[in-house]
Amino acid sequence: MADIVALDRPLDAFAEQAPPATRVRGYWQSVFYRLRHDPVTLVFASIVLLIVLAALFAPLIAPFDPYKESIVGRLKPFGWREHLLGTDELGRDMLSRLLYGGRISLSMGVVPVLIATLIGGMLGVIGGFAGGRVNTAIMRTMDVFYAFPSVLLAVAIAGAMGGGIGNGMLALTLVFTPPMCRVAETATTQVRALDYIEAARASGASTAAIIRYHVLGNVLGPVFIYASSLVSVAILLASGLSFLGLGVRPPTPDWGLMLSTLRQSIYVVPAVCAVPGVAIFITSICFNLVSDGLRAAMDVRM
Amino acid sequence: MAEVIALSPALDPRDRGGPLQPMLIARDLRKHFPVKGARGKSVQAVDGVSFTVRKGETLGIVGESGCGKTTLARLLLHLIVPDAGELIFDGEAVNAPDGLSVNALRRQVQMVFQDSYSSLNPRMPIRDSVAFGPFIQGREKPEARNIARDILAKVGLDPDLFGP
Repeated sequence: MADIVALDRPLDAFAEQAPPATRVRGYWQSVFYRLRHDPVTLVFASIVLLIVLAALFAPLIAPFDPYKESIVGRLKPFGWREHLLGTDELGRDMLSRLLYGGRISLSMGVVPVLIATLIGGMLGVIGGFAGGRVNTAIMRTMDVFYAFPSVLLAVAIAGAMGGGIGNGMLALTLVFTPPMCRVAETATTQVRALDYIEAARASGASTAAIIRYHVLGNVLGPVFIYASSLVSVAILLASGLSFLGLGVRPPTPDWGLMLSTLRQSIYVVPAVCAVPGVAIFITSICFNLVSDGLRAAMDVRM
Repeated sequence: MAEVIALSPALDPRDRGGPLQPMLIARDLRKHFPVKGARGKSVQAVDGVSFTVRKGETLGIVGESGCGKTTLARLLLHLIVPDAGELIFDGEAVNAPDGLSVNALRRQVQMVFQDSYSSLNPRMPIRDSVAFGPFIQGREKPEARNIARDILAKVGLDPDLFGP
């Protein structure tokens, strides 16, 4: 009972309360704040970073020349004469080939997704914002590509134009543009119907200004998240193309190609044959988990 | 009538027409929307609406849902172009050859939307949402932000809580 203090003017009790001490963050600040407090994403993001760095600095880290063959040292197990991950069917060091192969596999994963995001995202935003016939024209064209199974389309394109890294990337870009376009189009259509777009127009903003200040920011989130999840798919597809002989050509080291050429030796050194597969698996899992973390961190409505 | 004139601000530089000039005159505004699939049929959302709002006056429009209140409001801002009729803002015909341009009208008229969740861009802090109007009308970003801070303070909101 002693706690209760009689007040002449009860409202003063609220008036004297200091406002809660809150730090106001901008959008990107709040995204980084949420990421910092998400240990799972941080761990997997650092693994991704490690893989990228390892591939980038392959010439410095690789213990052997990835092209150096050895007749006597073929298909040796882990740890044979300083070959930490053994040797492949031509006696080349697996670790070195894995590091060098990461350069091609990763760029096959990132570059097509990047180009597809730019092209698909642009077409999607234009179609979604314009609506009507423009949208129908763009989306139905995309649907034509969408109708093919992605692997089949990639194989068909790479097959028609011949193998090689460039054509493989082009094939993957064509495969990823339609879904990217659809994600951007859906996000744009949703945003376009909201009142703040109308309010911006009522303030006198031009269509370009509305897209620049109100649409792009809201479309970027879903597009970025989808792109990061596509990277793992792209790495797998690129490996698949190389496996089928439509991507990278031997003797260039590439994870998919290594898996393909080593598969005949699976009964001789099973562990060594699994190494490129494990690398592909870990990389794509990490990209997927980072993408999930980004999805959580970038959702403004949470 | 006399009271209305007395209440209106005497010398405001934005008051171009003077106290006797009505703020807004709508004359026979009409907007029909064609019905998809039905040839020649149309929804007569706004059909010959005329009214005059004097300075210092408030006008409320009441009606059942779907009777065209929102369409009328959108017509007043030229968010949709009327099929027919005339809009005179402070003595100047809107979107007429020698009248007020639509952009100039939008500097002075705004709409408050019903749904506060979709009225604000979730990617923007409130301060930037408020600053968007002055910014898009040609002010520099820092200047527009200062205007927004002033406005937030004027309505009793702490500007530090509504923008980084």
